[in-house]
Amino acid sequence: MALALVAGCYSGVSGFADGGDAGESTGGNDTDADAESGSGSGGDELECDPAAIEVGHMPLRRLTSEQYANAVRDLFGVEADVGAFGGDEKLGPFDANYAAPVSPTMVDQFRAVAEDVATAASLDLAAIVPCDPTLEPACLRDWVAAVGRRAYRRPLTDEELARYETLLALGQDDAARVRLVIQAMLQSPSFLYQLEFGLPEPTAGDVVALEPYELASRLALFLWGSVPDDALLDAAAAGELGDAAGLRAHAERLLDDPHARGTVESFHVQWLHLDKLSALDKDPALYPLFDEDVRAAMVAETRRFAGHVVLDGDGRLETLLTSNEAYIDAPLFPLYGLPVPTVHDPDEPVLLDPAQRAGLLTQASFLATHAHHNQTSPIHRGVVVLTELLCQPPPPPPPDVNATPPDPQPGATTREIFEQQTAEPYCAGCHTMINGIGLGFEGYDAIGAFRELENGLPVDESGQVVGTDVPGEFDGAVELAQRLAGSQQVRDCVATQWFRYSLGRLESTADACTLDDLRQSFADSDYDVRELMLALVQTDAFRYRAP
Amino acid sequence: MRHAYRPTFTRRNLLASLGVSAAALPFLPLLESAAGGAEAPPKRLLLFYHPHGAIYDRWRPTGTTSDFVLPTILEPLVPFQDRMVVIDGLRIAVAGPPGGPHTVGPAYLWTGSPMLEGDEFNHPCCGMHGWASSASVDQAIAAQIGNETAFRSLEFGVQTGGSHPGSRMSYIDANQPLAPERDPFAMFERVFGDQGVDTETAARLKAERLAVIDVVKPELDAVLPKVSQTDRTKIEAHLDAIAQMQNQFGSTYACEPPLLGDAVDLESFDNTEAISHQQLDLIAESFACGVTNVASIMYRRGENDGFPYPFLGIPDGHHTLSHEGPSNTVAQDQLTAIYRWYAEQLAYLAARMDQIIEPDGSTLLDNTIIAWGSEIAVGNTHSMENMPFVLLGGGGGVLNTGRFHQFPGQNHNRLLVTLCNAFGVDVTSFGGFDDGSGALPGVLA
Repeated sequence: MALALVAGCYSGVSGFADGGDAGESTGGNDTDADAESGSGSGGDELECDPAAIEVGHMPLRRLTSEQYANAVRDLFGVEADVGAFGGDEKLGPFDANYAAPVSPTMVDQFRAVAEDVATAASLDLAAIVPCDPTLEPACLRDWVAAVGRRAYRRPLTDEELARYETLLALGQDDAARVRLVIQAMLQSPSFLYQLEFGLPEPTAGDVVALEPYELASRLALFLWGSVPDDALLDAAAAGELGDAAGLRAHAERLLDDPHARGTVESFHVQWLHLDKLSALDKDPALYPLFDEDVRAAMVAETRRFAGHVVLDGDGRLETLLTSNEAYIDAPLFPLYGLPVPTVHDPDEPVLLDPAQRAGLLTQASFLATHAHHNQTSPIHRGVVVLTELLCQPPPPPPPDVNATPPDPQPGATTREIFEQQTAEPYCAGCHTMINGIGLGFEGYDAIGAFRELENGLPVDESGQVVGTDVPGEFDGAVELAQRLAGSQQVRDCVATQWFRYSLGRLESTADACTLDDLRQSFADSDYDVRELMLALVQTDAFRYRAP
Repeated sequence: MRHAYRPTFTRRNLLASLGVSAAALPFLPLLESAAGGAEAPPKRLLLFYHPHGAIYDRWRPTGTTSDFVLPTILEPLVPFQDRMVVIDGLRIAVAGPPGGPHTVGPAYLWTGSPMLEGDEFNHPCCGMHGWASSASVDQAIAAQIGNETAFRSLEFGVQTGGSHPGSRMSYIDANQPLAPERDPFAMFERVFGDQGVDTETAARLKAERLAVIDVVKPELDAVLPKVSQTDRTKIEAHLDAIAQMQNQFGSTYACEPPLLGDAVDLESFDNTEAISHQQLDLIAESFACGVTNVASIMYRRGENDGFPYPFLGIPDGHHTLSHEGPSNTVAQDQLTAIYRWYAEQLAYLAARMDQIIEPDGSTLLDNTIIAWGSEIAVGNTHSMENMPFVLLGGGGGVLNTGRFHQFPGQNHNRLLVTLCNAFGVDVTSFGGFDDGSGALPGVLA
């Protein structure tokens, strides 16, 4: 919702009248005058009546490729080739299928992948069916009901069970019967979509409370990126998810489970756009160190780091942004200027020079992702920090400017050539904000290696933060990271990002009280991300839906 | 289905393991009705896309409408010069954001319409928008002629990207992008997968798949009245897709499926040409076999195309390279080589289609229109003026070929109208950018 701030850096610039309009569409259906102004300010009076429940519109979402693959693994113990689905849509930086309907090709791929999974899974019936169909006549029927409850995230109706009975009758042997059931389950709308209808009685307007199984589904898809286990569904049936305390208790159990690690890791990878790194190349003449192993090790480092800090460590946002602990594989040691050890466990942290490295923003994955193939990109680095950490995306450049990055020049630093390109007053309004942050990362090259010289010239890594709650000059990304770690705007933004990631939709004005609660809970926990995740599942936006 | 069944060929896995090259075995259609086939063959349409435009003066022919010389980029198509129409001067009638030009260009190209308003896609450069706001020309045509075949249309891709407007160019309707299939073997399996199995197995597979649909479809039907109006579109699209899929089960075709050769790593930049040839073979064979009459092929992607062309000796990413202006002659030569390579792909396909003899003695190329375009005109300016368009093939005699047309400043919607008319889709305007000028003059016979 950093909408009101969006147009800010354009003010006074003639010839670009669209700033306000472009900003208006940012928040989806949310154009009310009382929209919050930026996540950081918190200055507006917001009155939240605990009895009045308001939540934003929730579109019908389809499982992401990652959720699909995790669910298939958890249900049937086999790998699904989800690449065949052609990729997910993005909600901001996050994977979420919420806008476009499926295409015929995609539906055909759902069939093809379901058939492959079913064939693979039915090779070892004993591994997935807990009884012996040859001895117990009801075995497969019971299995359909049990595995179906997890796949559909609710008990199957009598009609649905009857249709599976018909399918069972078609199979020539038990393997074929199991195979057909899996084929159908993975093509069912109750598996593929997050179908939610809520309790029959609306609470206010068209807002409905989710029914217990729908809550179980949201919990598992958020915290595990997968379908629920039987214990969670049993808890739903027993009415244990009916209040915030009950949800929290079960969310804690899910967070303690190894399945939660993938969710925490994927949040950080997607949040910082690190999923783009796999498609980026670097000029081998300039960056001979960068190869497939290094590229993979970069993202792996961030995954491990996020998992360790949030789930094993103190969980604090400040630690994520300032820690000098690195969980790195062998290929990354040279990049960080360290000798490669003979024996090394990447889950044991290595301490990096705290004058050079502080948390996520100084990790090689982040720095390499937000850089060009032959030079750094102060613009991209500045824009991603503004957009994803401060929730203050700069507006797009006006249509008539040359947005092509300048070529590297021998005898000049990247700072010099980028400053030159954006120096005109027409550009400077926004680029003071963007470059002020982005140029602070000049101490790291396009693959994230620390540098004091560029083209033989000393690197200037000074920067300034403009137009946020932590304004002022800084020297280098370590100082910047420390500054951001103390920013209320960043903390509130992180809460907003987790909201988007967990719900698969953007916030709107109707979610103002949910976000307020969330930010308060985050503050109460001294900015512990784990507590933030637990607080999320207790919010109105998580427990209710508006169609 | 109405297609005759000939169970006499080998499975692709076997062929793949043998490493048989497709080129080694010329295509021979199995003519069911022997010499009796006087019925006119259907017209086919293929949309062909490559990223980032062209080097204008190395693309644009010189000469007159009927007497012209193809320059470096188009030179590989010289053998087909009298079977093609080069169209210069068209523009995409859009002014600036929202949307990065490489992101929205693939949608603009064949829909002729702006993007939907929305916040789904936020370009770091150029603002927010949704998916395309109307159907693309191939789908408008498929809606009219597609029901005659098992597949209404097929979308092929070569190293295309994820679910993003920069990686999609075909739309069934507003907000309904079609994902291209980037794996030739997956496409083979989808189209010809049941061709090699014996009759009994084929019947069993079909019965099983229909039985699975009998489980799934009633669930979708039950959901439909319970969801909101917006969500209804999604469930309806799913039901439509299932109806189409059902139509395809058990389809058999009166011809040999293509031989794809070895499976290759789809991600490797060294394999681009091998994948391209496999997909082009599949397109030719899908047309020849009556699998579909409408297809599209998208190479790589409009946005985030950091892909190099190592097989052309070009290690730099195409997009970055395309930002080089005319003064960088090395870059200009490399870009020329890239665009020329795409002309070679088109020539490969045209040659293949021209070898395929249809029941009435004409060739597949005679009955096909391949429409070749890109999402922008020039890489270093992102201009959408003077878009490079080529039509290739006869379209069943409907195209007035061997022509070089210049329509400076005209909206490219006029080309989309022309394509519709060529396939009997009787429209006078197409897409939101259309200014009502109608079809291009002189392109159709």
